[in-house]
Amino acid sequence: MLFNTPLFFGFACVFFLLYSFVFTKNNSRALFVIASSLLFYAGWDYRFIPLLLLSGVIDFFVAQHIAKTDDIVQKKRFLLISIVVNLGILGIFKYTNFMIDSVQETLTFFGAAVSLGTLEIVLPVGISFYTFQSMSYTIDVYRGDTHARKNFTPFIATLSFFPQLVAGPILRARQILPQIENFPTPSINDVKYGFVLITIGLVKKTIADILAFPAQTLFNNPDAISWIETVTGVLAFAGQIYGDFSGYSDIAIGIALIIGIKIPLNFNTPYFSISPVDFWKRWHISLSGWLRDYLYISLGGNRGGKQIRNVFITMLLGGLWHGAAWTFVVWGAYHGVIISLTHMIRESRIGKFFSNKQGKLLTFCMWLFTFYLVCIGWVFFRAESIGDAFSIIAFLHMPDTSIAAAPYAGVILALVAITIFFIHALDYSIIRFREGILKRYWLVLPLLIAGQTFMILIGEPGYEFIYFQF
Amino acid sequence: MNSSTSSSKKVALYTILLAVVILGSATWLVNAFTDNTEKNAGDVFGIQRIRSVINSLDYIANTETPSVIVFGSSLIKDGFSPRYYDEALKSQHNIDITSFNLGLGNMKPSYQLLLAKRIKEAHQRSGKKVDLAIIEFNPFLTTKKRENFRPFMTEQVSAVLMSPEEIHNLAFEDTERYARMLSIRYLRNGVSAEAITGGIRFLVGAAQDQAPSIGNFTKDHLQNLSERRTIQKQLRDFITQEHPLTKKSHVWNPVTQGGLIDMMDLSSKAKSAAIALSNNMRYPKTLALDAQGRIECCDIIDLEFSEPLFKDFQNIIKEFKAFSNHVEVILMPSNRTIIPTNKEALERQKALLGRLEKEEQITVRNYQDHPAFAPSMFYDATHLAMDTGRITFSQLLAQNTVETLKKD
Repeated sequence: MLFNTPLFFGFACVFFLLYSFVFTKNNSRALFVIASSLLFYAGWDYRFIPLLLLSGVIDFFVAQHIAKTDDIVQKKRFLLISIVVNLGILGIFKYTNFMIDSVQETLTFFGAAVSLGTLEIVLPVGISFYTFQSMSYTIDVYRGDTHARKNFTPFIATLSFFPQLVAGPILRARQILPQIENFPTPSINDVKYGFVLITIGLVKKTIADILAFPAQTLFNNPDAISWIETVTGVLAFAGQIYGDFSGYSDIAIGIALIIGIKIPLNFNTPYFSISPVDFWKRWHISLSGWLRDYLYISLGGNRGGKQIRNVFITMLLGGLWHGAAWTFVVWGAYHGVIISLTHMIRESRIGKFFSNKQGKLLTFCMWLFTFYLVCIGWVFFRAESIGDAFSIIAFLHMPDTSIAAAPYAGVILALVAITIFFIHALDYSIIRFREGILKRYWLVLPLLIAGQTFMILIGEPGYEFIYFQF
Repeated sequence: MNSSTSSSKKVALYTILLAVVILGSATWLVNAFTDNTEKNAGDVFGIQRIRSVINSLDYIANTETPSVIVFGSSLIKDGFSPRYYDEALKSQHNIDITSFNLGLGNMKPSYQLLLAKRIKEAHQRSGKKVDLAIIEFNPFLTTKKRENFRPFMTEQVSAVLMSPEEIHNLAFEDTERYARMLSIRYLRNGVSAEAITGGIRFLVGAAQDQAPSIGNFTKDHLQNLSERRTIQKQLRDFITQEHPLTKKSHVWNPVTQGGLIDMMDLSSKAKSAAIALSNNMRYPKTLALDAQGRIECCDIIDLEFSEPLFKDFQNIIKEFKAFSNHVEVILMPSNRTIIPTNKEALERQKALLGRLEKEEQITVRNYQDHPAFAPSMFYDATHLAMDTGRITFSQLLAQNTVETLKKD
C-alpha cells in the first residue's frame, strides 16, 4: 500500500475516523495502531509480519533483561543478542545473495569458476528501517538513555507505526515511545502543518516520478547519449531521489502529525549544503543520526585520533545499508572519503584561513562544489554497475563531442535544474516561514488545494518509492 | 466526556472539514481541467471516442432498420465507411440496412472484450438483435508485445469500459486496482493521471529518445512535414466550416454512423485537400518511421501471438454471438510493401485463423492480400486512405456480406 494511491487514502480515512472517534483510550489506540499498521504492512506481504514482530518481541524482552541486571557483562550479552538477531535478520534477507555473488565473482576472478547459485529470498519491505529502530531501543536501554518498558503494546505500536514503518524516518524509542504511550491531542496548527507536509510530499513524489524519465535515459544507455543529456540525467536523478525520499518522509511526518505524533525533520534542504559534512547533517537526518550515535560513537568517534577511520567505516557501512550491491559500498566509501577530506581540510591551515573569511562568493563556491560532489556520488548510487558509474563520470569530465545532443536538450536541462531548485525552495519556505504560513488561511488553503490538484492531475498513483528497496 | 476528549474530537472534525475542502476543491479543479481540455484541445487523453461509443450503444441497439456492426481497431475506424457500405447494398442489392462503425484506436482484445460486453448489454436492454456482426481480427494487436504496450492506457480505458459490477468485483481480486479504478471512473472523469503524465513523459523522456531521429531528418523530409501541417490545417478548417456539428470526426457520431468524415461529405476544395494529405502522408521516410513504430509497439513483422489476447478475441466472438444473427471475422487489407510480414509469422497467423474457424465455427474473410488494394490506397503503414482505400473496402465488404444478409 503506497502513500500515493487511492487505496492508501481510503485506508487513512478509515484509520483516522476510528482513531478519533472509536478508539479513544490510550491502550485501545495502541492496539488499534498495531492492527492498522500490520494491515498496512500486509498490503505488501503478510508473510513477513512475524519477522517484524520477532524483532520487536526479542528487543522488548532483551531490554527488560538489560534493565534488570546490574552486571555489565550480562548487560553486554543481552545487548549482543539484540544486535545479532537484528543484524542476522537483515543479513539473511538482504545480504545473503550479495555475499554468494561476491564469493562467486571473486573465485571466478582467481580462475576458480564455480556456480554457487543464489537463494530465492524476498527482501521484506522496510526491513532496514525497523531492525535499526528496534535495535536502537535496546542500545538506548543499555546506555541508560531510556528505561525499559513494561507494557508491550505501546512498544510494538511504536515499532510498527505505519507512517514510518517501511521507509522511515528511523525513530529512536525515546523520541516516539512516550508519545505512543500517551497519545497527545494535536493542535489545529499540527493538523494544518500535517496537511502541508502531506501535500508537499505528494508534490515532491510527483515531480520525482517525472524526473525519473531523463534519469532513466542516462542510466539505461550511458554510452549512447550526449554530454548535455548526461548532465541532465545526473541532475535529474539527484532531483528524483530527493523528491522521492524526502517526499515520503514528509508524508510520513504529516500523517503522524495529524494525529498529534511528532516525528523530527528528516531532510533539511540538503542540496543547499556547503560541505559534505553539512550535507549529511541535512540528508536523511534520522539515518545519519543513527549511524553517528550507534556506530560512529561506538567505534570511538573523534577520540584517539581515529576520526578519519571511524568516519570511513561508518559511511562504508551506511552505504551498504542502502543496498546489497558494490555500487552502494563504493557510494558509501566515496562519502567516507569526501567527509574525511573535509575534516582534514578544516583542520589544515588553509581551512582555518578560509573559515575566517567566509563571504558570499566563497559560500557560493563551497555550495557549488558540494553539490557537484554529491551528484558524482549519486552516479555510483544509481548506476547499474561500478563500470557504468566510472564511464558516466569520465564522460562528464571528458565529453565525446561526436555524440550530438538532441534538440531541446538544453531546455530539458534547464527544466530539471529549475525543478530541483523549486523543490528546495518549497522546503526552505515551509521550514523557514512555517508559523507565518500556517497563520494565514488565505495562503495555506490555496497552496494546499493547488498542491493536491497538481498531484491528483499528474501524479502516477502506484509508482513505488525508491527507498522501499532498502 | 472530559475536556481532553472533547478537544480531541473538535480537532478531528476540523481535520475532516479541512480534508473535504482541500480534496473536494482539488477534485473539482481536476475535473474542470480535463473537461475543458477535452472540449478545447480535442482527444488529448485518447479517451473521447471510447467514451462517445459507450454513450451511443443504446442508440445503436435501438435502431429500427436491420443493423450491421463492424467492430475492431483503428483499421476499422479509418478504413470502413458505414454510409458507402449501406449505399452499395441499397443501390446494388436493394437491401435496406444501417451499419455502424465501432472501430477504436489504441485497442487490444482485452479492452475490446469489455466493449463487446457493453454492446451485448445494450442489445439485451433493447431486446433487439444485430443482423450481422463483423469483427476485425487484427494480428498485430494480438501479439505478446502488444500485451504490454502502453500500460498507462490500460487503467484509463478499462475504467471507462468496465461496468460498475466489474469494477466492484475488483475489490476482492485486487484492492489497489479497485481503488484506482474508482478514482479514475468517478473522481477523475475517466482520465487517468497516467494519460496526463503521458504528455509530460513525452516532453522530458521520450522526446529525448526521438529527438535524435528528428535531428537526422533530411531537408526533403522536413519540407514534407511542413507541407503536411499546412494541408492538415486546411482540411481541418474546411471540415469545421462545412460540418460544424461533426467536425470532431473521431468522436462517435450518429450522422456518420460512427464512421469518420467521408469524401461524400466534402466540397471539392476539401476533397482536394484530403487527397493532397493522403499523398503527402505516403512520403517514404514517414511510412518507414510509421512501420518502425508498429514493429516496436506490436511486433507487426514477426507476429509472436499472445495466447491470452487470442482467448480474449475468442470471447469477443462469443459475446457477439449472444446478440447477433450472424457473426463473421475479417482481416483488414495490409500494406505489404511497407509491412512485409515474414513467412513464419504468416504461417502462425494461418494456424491461428484455422483454430478460430474450427473452435468458433465462424467465417473468416481475409482481405490482407486482396488484389483490390494497392499501396496507394493506404495513407500510412496500416490504415486505408479516406479518398481511395476506405471507399473500395466498404463497397467490397458490402458485396461480400450480401449473401449473409440475404439469409434472413
